[in-house]
This record gives sequence, C-alpha cells and structure tokens, in this order.
Amino acid sequence: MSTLAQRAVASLPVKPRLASGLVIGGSMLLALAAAALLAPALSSGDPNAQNFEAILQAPSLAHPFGTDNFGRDVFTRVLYGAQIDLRIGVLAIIFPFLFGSLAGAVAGYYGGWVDAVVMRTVDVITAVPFLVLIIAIVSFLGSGEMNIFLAIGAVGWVTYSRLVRGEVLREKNLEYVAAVRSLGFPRRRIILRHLLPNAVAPAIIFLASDVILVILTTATLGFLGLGIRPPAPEWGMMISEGREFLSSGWWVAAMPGFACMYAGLAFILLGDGIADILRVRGQ
Amino acid sequence: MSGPLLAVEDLRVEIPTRHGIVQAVRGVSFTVQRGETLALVGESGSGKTITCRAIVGLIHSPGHITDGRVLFQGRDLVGLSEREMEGIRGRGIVMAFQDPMTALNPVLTVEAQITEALSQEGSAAARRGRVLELLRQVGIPDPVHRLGAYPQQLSGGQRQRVMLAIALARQPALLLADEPTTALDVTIQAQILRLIAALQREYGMALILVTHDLGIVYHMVDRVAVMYAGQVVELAAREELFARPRHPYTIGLIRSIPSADRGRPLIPIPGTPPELIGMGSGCPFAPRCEWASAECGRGEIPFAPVGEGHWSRCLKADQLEAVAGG
Repeated sequence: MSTLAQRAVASLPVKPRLASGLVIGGSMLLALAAAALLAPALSSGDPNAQNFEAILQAPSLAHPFGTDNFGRDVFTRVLYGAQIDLRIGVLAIIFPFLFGSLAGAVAGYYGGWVDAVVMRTVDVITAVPFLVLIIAIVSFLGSGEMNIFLAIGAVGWVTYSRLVRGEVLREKNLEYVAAVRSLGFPRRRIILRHLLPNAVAPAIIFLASDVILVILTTATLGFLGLGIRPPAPEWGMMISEGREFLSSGWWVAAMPGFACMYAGLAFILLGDGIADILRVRGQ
Repeated sequence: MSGPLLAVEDLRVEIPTRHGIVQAVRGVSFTVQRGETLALVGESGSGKTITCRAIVGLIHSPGHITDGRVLFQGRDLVGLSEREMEGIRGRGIVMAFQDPMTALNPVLTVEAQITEALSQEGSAAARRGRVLELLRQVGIPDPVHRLGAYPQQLSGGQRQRVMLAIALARQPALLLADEPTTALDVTIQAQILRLIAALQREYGMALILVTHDLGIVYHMVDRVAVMYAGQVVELAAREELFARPRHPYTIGLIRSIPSADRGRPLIPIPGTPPELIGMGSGCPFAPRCEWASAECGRGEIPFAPVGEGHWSRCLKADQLEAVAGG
C-alpha cells in the first residue's frame, strides 16, 4: 500500500551519525581548498584588477558576488582570499597545538613545581584578553604574516595546555598508566606514547574551532591595519572595507563573510567527525 | 647475591582522606625467595593491593609510605627517585593489575603494547616473532590475527593473557599479580592460574599472587601470608597453613572455602573488617573472633613464631591447635 513510505524508511541511513561530520566537513573543506587553488581558472584572474566602469555592481552572471568600490570582482577576491585565510588559519595553529599539548601533558603528569610554572604562565597569558595581547604583540613586531604567526604562537597554546592537562590529570590515575609504569618505561615514553594519544582528543576537537578563531583574529588585525596589508584579498580586511558600503552594496562585506561562515562550518563539522572517531576508539 | 629476592620490613602506608588518615598498611613484613610463590590473601581493604603498589612505588597520591623498608636484591626501594625506580621496574619487578578492562592502553594494538615491552635489540622481524611466541605461550588462539587487535576487541580472559604476555616480555625477576582472575569468569579463572604457574616455572620468576580467595591458592603457591586490617596476621608454608592454622581469621577463611566433597556447611566469618581510620590498640579481629578475651583488646599483638617458618599475630595461637585440622 504505502510503498512510498516503505521506500523512504528503507532508504534511511542505518548509522547516520558515525563520521558523517567528517565526510561532510571534509568534503566542504576540500571543495574550498580546491576552489582556492584553482582560483586563476575559476575567476577573472587578477583579484586586484580595478574597473571603474563597474563600481559596486550587484551580483550578476558576469560578477557572481558583485563588485566593490574599486570595481574589483568580489568572487575573484574571495577565492584568492581563501588561499590567504586557509594558509594562515592552518599554519598558525600548528605550533600552539603541539607546544600547548606537550606543555599541558608534562604539567599534568609531573605535577608539583613543573605544573605550577606552566599553569601560572597560562594564567598570566589568559588574564589578558586574547585580542588585546595579540594586538599588542603585532603592534610591537609590526604587521605581516610572519608576525601574526609569532603572536598567535605566543598566546594560542594556553588553551591546548589547559585541555590536555585536564585530560592527563584524569588519565594518569587510570590503571593502564600504572601498568606501563610498572614495566619500567621512562616517563618521556609514557607521556608521549601512552598518555598524549589518550589525552589529546579534546585538543584536536578544539583545533577545528581554533582555525576559525585565527581567521577572525587575522581579519580583526586586518581591520585595524595590523594584519595582512591591502590590497591583498584577505577576508577580514574585505569585510571591514565593505562595511562602508553596507547600504549601497551589501555584497562587498557579506560575501567574504559567508566565506568565513562556510569555512567555519566546515571546520566544526570536521572537528565533530574527528571527535566521534576518537570517542569510538576510546571506548 | 644471597638472601631473599624481596624483603618487606615493617612497611607502613598511610592515605590522608577527608575523614582522617587511613592506615592502609600497618607494619607488614615478609620475604620472597627467588622463584618462590607467595600468596597475599585477605578481604577487600586488607591492604594487599596497596602493599604491592608500595613495593613497585606506584601508590596513588596522596597515599605514601611512612615507614619501613622494601629490600629488593638487597637494595632499599623506599625513597628512590622515579628515575631510579624506572631501572627497578621491568627487569626487576613487574606488577600485573587487577582489571584487564582498564589496564591496557585503549589506543594501542596488542602488538604495539607487547613489542614496546620487549628489549629493543634485534630486527623488527625478530621482535614480531617474539611477540607471536609470547602470545602463543599465554594461550591466545590464532595469534597472527590478534596482532592488530585493540584491547576492546578482546574478551576479558584474552586481555588478561595479553597483560601476562606484556609482563613476560620484560622477563622480570618478580611478578606481582594483583587478583589476576577476579574480573574473569570462573571457568577462565582456573586456566589463567594454571597458565601463570606454568609460565612462572618456565621463566624462573618469583611471584606474589594477591587474592581474596584462599581456595584458589591451594594448588599453586609455596607460602601464604594472610592479611587483615593492614597487617599480616599469619604467615606459613601452604601445607602448614591449611593443616595447622594458628590465627582465628585464617580458620575462618578456611571454613568459608566452598567444597564439593566435604559435605559440610560453609561457615561465614561474622561481622565486617574494621575501618582503618584511627585504629586503636589491640587485635583488630577481636570483635569478630569467637576466642577473643579482654586481653585481646589491649596493646600491640606481637607477630610471634608458632612453628617452623610459621608466624601468627594471635595471643591464643596455642589454644587454636586443637581446633584446626578440620
């Protein structure tokens, strides 16, 4: 009778949750990365080419995302911007992730004065608002991509330390840690090979949202004139430049904004997917 | 090197808690010879596990050793740094933990965990061969296909076997096995115990077998130390202990072993073990003891010899002779 309903039920995925975030988020990211790499072929070519015949034009077939106040094609700029923002977002979190996780694991495992030194440093850095500290460091070092990496590296590791230390404090009293200790393994090996893989899951999950945080920080720095220098098509800077034209050309700010949201969603789904896998294996 | 492999002397462990200081181990002494098997028997909370953890220096913080010595091959382990203990653990002493569900690292494969415990000499192929040999020795069927398995893919009995394989890979002089069969099905328990006994002979290890079940130790140990309320209350060779128990608690334990052929009722020990916070003087078993008198409630009860290699912490040990033997 209700063959349609039966077919609908039959077509429901059996395990809808497992790793679906990984697949969707991963595909979204791959698509974005591919679009960034293929930007010369997919767009009009030069992200900085100005055309004063076509200023602040609404999205059309010729300009899918419209044009800005210099007549630059926003679609082209968003694609080239993906190159900059993805590169900064991914590269800037590597050092904080590695150093912060290790510092947190060592602090949590050793305890005592080691823990005190690491965690008080974390407290000091956390006490100053994240952006204020980044802005201070970048203003001191000067603008540019390398200095953004340095500033984020100096500040961003504290969250990873907190997360991993908390996990290590829980994990280190579990039986398997006592078991490997009773085998006489050196502490370095116990931390790196046994504790970290079990304690690093929340840090990996945070990694995904941290990419977004870094991209937004880069955008903020660009807005303040401390980040990537114009006319480079960095998303944050494009948003801040487009702010002035919100009434006459909303797309100038909105399109790079959507790109940010898209990248954010992709990374968060990816992080969720990784979290699912880590949880399954950890059970 | 002469003398015992391990000599524990007047070991005391305290654990500060919110409710007061728990005297978990109160003056435990025993020795273990090379290749010998000693059973540490007692109820939950009698201090068996903490004694073992103290020997390998793995007491959970904030617990700590307050007094006594742990002489391993003549060297006192109490107060050694973590780095020095790393040199003792492994080739010297390995502790196998009670719960096979939690004592294996969940994110490493069976092969990775055993390989890691092997000495890192020789080729990768030679190490893999040794891993397979160990898995075969501990009775894992089809070991080639188990190499890549994660602990959660194995049954409890198989995990216990893998833990034994890891311990054997270190070739320790002394293995501390903490309730190795408690978490397992009854049918698997006997297999694992037979396996431990066989491997112990093959590797020439000394073994401390921790258990709450006096029945299972009967067939495989040389000597038995019975623990109660953080003390060793009786220590004797196995036959001697079962034939002539000289402590009321041991008598109680023997009476409560289920037996199919003797056809007599089980006699449980009345009451429960004491709280180990703020222990007063006197015999801690006195409130549960049918032989107790006023003098049992006063002073420290001495751990006195009552026979050849046989000690008891009981003032009435002499009067118990007639009782025993059932």
